[in-house]
Amino acid sequence: MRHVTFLAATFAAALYATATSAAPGVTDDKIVIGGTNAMTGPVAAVCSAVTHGAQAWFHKVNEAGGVHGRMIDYVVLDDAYSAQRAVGNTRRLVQQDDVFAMFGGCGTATAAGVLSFLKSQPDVPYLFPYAGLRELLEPLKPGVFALMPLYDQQLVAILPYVIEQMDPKPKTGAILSNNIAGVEAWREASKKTFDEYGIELVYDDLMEVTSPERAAFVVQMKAKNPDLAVIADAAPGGARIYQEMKRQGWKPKMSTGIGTFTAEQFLSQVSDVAEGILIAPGFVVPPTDPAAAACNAALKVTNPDIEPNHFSVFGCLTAAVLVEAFDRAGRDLTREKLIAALESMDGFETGISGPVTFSSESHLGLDSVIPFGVKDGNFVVLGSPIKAAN
Amino acid sequence: MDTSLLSAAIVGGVLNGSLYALLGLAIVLIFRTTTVANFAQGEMAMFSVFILIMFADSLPLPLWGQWFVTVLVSAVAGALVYIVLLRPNPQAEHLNLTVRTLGLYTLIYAVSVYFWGANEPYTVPSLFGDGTIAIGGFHISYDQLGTILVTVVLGALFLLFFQLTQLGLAMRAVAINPEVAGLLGVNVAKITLMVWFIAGAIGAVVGLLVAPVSFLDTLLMRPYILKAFTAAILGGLYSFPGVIAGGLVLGLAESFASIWISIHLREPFTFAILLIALLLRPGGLFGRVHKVRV
Amino acid sequence: MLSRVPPAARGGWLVAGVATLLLILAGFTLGNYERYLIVIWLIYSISGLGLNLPIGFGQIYSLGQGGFMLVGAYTTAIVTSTWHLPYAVALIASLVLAVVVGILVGLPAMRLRLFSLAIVTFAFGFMLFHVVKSFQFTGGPQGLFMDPLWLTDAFSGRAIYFFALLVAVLGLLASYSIAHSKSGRALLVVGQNETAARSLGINITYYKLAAFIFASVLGALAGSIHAVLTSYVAPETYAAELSVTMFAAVMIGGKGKLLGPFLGAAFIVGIPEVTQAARGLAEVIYAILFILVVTVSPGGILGILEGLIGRLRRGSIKAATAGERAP
Repeated sequence: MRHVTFLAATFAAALYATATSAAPGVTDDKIVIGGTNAMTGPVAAVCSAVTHGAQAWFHKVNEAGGVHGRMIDYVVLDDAYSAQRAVGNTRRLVQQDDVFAMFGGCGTATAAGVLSFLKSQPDVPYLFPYAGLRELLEPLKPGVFALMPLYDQQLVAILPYVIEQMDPKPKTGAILSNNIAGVEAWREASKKTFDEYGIELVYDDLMEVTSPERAAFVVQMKAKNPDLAVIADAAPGGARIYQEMKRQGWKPKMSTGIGTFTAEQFLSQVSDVAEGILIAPGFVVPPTDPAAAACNAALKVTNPDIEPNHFSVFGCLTAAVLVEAFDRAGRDLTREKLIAALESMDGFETGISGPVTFSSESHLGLDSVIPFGVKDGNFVVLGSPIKAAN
Repeated sequence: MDTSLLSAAIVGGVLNGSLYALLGLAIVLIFRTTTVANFAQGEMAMFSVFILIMFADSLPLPLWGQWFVTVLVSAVAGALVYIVLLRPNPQAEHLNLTVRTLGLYTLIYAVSVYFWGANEPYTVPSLFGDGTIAIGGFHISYDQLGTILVTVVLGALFLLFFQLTQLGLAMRAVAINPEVAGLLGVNVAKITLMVWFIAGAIGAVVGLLVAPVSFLDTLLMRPYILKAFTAAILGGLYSFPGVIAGGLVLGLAESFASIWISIHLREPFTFAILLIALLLRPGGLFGRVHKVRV
Repeated sequence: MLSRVPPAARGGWLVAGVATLLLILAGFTLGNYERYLIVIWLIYSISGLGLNLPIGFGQIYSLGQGGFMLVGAYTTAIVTSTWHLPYAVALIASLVLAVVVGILVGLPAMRLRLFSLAIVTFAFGFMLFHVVKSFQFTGGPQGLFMDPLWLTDAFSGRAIYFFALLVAVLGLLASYSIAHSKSGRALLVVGQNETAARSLGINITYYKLAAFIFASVLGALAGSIHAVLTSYVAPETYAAELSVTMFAAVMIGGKGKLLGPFLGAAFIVGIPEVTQAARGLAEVIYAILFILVVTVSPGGILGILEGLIGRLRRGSIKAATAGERAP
């Protein structure tokens, strides 16, 4: 008899233990989330700001008491932009450190690495990497959420706006793109929009990532003299294109690009050439915008030597959305509750971006971009967020 | 064909080709005298540009003076590389000596990324000023013109130096056979030091010419170093006029390939040229098949 | 040089045997992340073992090992995840393709020497990188996501661990038997002195090509395991830098010695891992250690270890004789 009681007690204790030890990474006063990002190496200059922005925002939230009494502990390991190291870091964080979720990071190849490993761990959420990777969203994965619109989605939103702004309307257009992941969908979207507006495509070419050559492309584009140029390139390559336009004494009447053209590194090199002829899609407001003040202030506390930029503001955005989701999920935090909380977000206003909406059908939070122009060496917001007209 | 495109192809080809040739000269120089393939030559050039914009540009000198200081410092750094990296265990075979330069390549890159990577790319002032000259609808900038001029002058000086001066003669002797040269009273160690000194200086000039046109980042010389090696091999690896011709052939060929065939085939095309050339003439376009010292 | 291989073997076998036993034990006891690191190390070791034959024995510059790994990885991804065939088929396809590619690259390349060969093999890796980036069926610039394979996750990741270990041991055995066969000795002579080799009637092209194909096959095997492990293949993973890294690994470990590639792979995988806390300085530390090893010891890490053991042994002999002399 005593035996049975003992067994029952053990059983009950075991049950109790499973009930209270909420989700992995969650303790009474802490939520541990993990991330992998290029904190060193060539892309670190751009990418690390995403992590710094997010960490700054979490710090600010923690200082104010955290979420439901818990501090957010964001552990980031360096992958130096190697997919293999990103996989290793994710394994370490998920299997050894038992983090609650994978969060943030930057770069397509590394996000693909994280994602491929999490295929075998589908219950671990993976939230808001800065990556234009279709695989994040399609097919829909229960725990994977993104904030950054894909390249073609950015384009479908910004290009009609740019064409509307032009007077007279453009008759000819050019597409110049770098051979990066997702570029095919982007080119298709460009061509379709050109067709819809009756713009003749006079130049269409693909550049190689490994080659810095841009002059020859600009020379060829110049020969066709398009009214509107649509350019997909990384920040340094894009800067070379605009510099070459200056050298060749030619520029299109208007141009647009992808989110990389809202990077401060790009702006600092091209502000004189691009003023008046560039409208680029931003995901968040520029750091010079009054709305970004809280984010900049938070960054100043944690990383005083880092200049706020588009990436740090994006980092703040991701953190703010996650904090909101934690808040909605309540004190008894589980992964399922977090996912439910995210999917309940409908038009959540962050103040630094367009409204954020998730649903059980769509895990892309931002479907609008902010039109950026260049004025006096700074980015300026030209209008309210533009939603893609599907 | 559009004349503007044609002139762009020629200018672009000669411009890149002359840079490949100049960098290739430094590689051939070191290879001939020490049998070391200096894989770090490009990174040394990149580092030189950082020397300019991080240190030399605060000197109270005109830009050309800062250039001169940078080239001098780079030359001394080149000599230091030889003393620190290649003098220890000199009896090691060339595979080992070459892999040391791969280590140096890794180190220079890592150090540059550590100190300056966060704020790249940088704008580098040009010695030749802003501005362009229009030739038949095509605009050639002072930068491009200046670059071609400098490489031509430097290349010519280099060839004359080797043909006419005592030191050049000694270097050629060491290149042909270091043991015999040593027996003939040539100070081989000193000559090798001079070779690295010159290679450091040439690298610096190439870096300083490239950086104002493309921006300065830590990957500055990556596209050039492989081409410089290709130019050197096309030229037969042992011949100075050969590497200059190899560089120009390569530059023009890829420039025309990108206009006539497809710009994406530019890189693969480079290697197609190399492969075909080597299959037809394993000793290079201009070289004889050399006996390798055992 | 010729006599250097066999006597070293006894100690080497002891090390290899003990290490294998320890690794088998580790497979059961270590955590998931540590096992992952060991598999990565084994992958680089396997590829390095392959490259060791042309570099270490034949003195053939090969800077294209990353290209062979790419062949194995992409073949595996396409066969298992585009055609949905079993992994065994992918493995066989990788091997066959590796032999074909090895011959296609090797035949023309073997006419060349030294740096011409280095640059041509490098160019081969570079072009393969461009090829997989350009075609749709290789996933373009984004690469290919693979279906989850049984081998990736079975026995909570232990299946892939023991598979990699098995391949590494087989690779070591194959390297050993080649090194001590007539072919291995012929290759050594070719590496030492081609003129002498020719006068001995050795078919130089044949032996060089065979070494090259061996490197290609082990490279493709390593690439195939790597693809299974990460279940994602991307062009950047197998870019030209990988070839340079593999070349460095063989030289750092100690070329021409069978345990060298294992040490070299441990260096390139382990140093970044242990220096991760140093953040930005990690790369600098790695580079300094790299230079130190190859400059101080042309025989690589193995050379340093052998020197140490030799000194210890001499020391103990001295101590022993001193002891005898003492009453």
